[in-house]
Amino acid sequence: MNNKNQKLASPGMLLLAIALAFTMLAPFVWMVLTSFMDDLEVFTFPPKFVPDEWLWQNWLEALTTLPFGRFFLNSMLMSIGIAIGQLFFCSMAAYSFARIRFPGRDALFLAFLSFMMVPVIVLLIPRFLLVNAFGWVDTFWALIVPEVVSVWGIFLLRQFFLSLPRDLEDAARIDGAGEWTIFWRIILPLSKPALATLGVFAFVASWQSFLWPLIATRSLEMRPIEVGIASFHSIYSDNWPLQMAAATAAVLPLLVLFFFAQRYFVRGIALTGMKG
Amino acid sequence: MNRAHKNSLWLIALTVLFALWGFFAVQEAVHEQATTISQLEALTATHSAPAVQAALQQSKFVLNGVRQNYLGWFFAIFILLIAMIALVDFVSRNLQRPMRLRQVLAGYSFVAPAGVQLLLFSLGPILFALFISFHSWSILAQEKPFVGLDNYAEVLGSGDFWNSLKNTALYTLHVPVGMAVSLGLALLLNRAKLPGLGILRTIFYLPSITSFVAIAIVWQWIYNPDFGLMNYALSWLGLGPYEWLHNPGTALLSLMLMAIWVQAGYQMVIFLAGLQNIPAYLYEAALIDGASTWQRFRYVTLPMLKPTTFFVLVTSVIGSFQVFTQIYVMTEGGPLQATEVIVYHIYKNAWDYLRMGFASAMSFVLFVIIMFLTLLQFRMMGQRSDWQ
Repeated sequence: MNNKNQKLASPGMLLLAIALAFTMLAPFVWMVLTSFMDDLEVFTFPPKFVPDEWLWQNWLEALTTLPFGRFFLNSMLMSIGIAIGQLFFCSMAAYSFARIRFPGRDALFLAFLSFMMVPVIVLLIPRFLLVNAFGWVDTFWALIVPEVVSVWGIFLLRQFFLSLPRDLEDAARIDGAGEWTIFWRIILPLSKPALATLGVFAFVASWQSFLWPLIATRSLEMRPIEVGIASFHSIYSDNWPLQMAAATAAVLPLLVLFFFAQRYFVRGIALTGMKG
Repeated sequence: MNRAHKNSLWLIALTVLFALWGFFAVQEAVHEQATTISQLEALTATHSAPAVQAALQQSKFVLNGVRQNYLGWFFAIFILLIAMIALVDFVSRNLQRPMRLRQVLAGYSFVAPAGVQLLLFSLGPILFALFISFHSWSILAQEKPFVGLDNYAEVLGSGDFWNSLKNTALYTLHVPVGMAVSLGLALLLNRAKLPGLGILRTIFYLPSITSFVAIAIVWQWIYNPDFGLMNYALSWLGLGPYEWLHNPGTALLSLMLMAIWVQAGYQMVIFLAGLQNIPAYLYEAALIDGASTWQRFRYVTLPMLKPTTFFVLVTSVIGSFQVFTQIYVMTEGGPLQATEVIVYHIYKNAWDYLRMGFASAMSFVLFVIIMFLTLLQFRMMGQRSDWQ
């Protein structure tokens, strides 16, 4: 439908949209408001929405009882490491699948795709035993290396590379450029939007990952933030304001990223074969 | 015979030599340990001192280690040598066609980094998990005896397994409901010009990009029977109070409701992209033919949206069958195992009870179920393609 056919929203529709938006936002707003309350103030019914006194020290207490700075740093290093790794590994494989002709290519691509069906839980035990055999448990190696290849990412980039025009590439080939030069100098610079999309998705997915970091790390110093606030949750199970402060702290970095990179999220969804 | 062929012959000879050496080296090491073990066993027959027992255990452990280590390295180098033979052989046979040779080598070397990673961290682990599932395997135990299909038989006879499968299936029922909600949202946002559409879309999208653990904590507080937001909101409608997560009858339902809230925005953005790809002339043609709003939805929108719906359905069902974080943070499978879903059940068996063989067997059963569901959905969507 194009814009000419669109009518301006009726007031009823507008109200409904606002009500829905309110439903989506309410838990977040409540989370932030509760994080400033006294720990006994929250035990009232009907619930309070505005704290009597804004207790900023909740935040101080929540963020210093456990090493939150360290959790944050771990999540950051892990997510950046995985994002860079996926950009490197996936773009190379995707280039090969999209642009180079070699026997067995399509069969190999199908074999790659079939990994998307494997549930993570099947890999959990053997991956742990493998990482344990390497002596990687409780290190960044264990957090990053098993995740640096994403079949979904290869698929996404391959689709994008296929859509690029071949003219530039052919011209370079005539000039005697090798595959690596074409890949590095021509294809990658043309693919910045797709690469940004994959990078952002990989970053967020790694930040949200929980089960593998829970198993692959042992010490508090190596926990990423998701596992960190989960332990905070079980330690302070009765102090809801502190938990809400910790939860807000975990949400904030992702919110910031989302507001800056929103268009890449939307583009990522459009890129994953939604053209029907 | 050209020079390259001679090279591959040399490599083959080297591989055979290596195989022979590996075989005898393992035999030697195993024999050494076996001798120690039999001597120690003879000793334990007469003296049952704890020191002798410990030494015996130690030797058995070393024997296991020797077998695993030698075999592992041996196998890895063997595969590498075979790959080298194949490479040299291929190069030698295609020396006359340098262009083709270059293409093939480039093709495989660009795939190689990702391929090696997948081999090491996905394919290898899958095969290893299969291997483990035929053993009574604990990370702490030194003995990991082969038990054949016993683990699988135990899985299929286990009430807890079927309970967790039932819970997972029930939980997955939120997917079609949630998809209807998100499709409704998408239609709403697509139909009319709303001021601030971008902001609305951002708001709906928020839950799916934020921290799942944080969301789980907030919703646990929202579901608090005495002081929670949910009971407060329902009290306005004269409903409740409900016990939500504290009642086995409503706990799973509460998690499903939350899952719909989390996913609605993500699915809506996908549906919106799909809706915007439907060409306007189809609607114009339908209007000329006098189709009502409902008919336009039923005969234009739905069929044209089918690939999108299919994508959302398949990925959401697969995701729903693997739900874990919310369960771990909010209910730990309780109350009374009412929210013990299959991945949580597998996790508990592997890491709390250290029954990794049994857990691996369960994970393979789940693998088969997910594969079956995916194929089933492909079949179902395929059959109805005639209304497109």
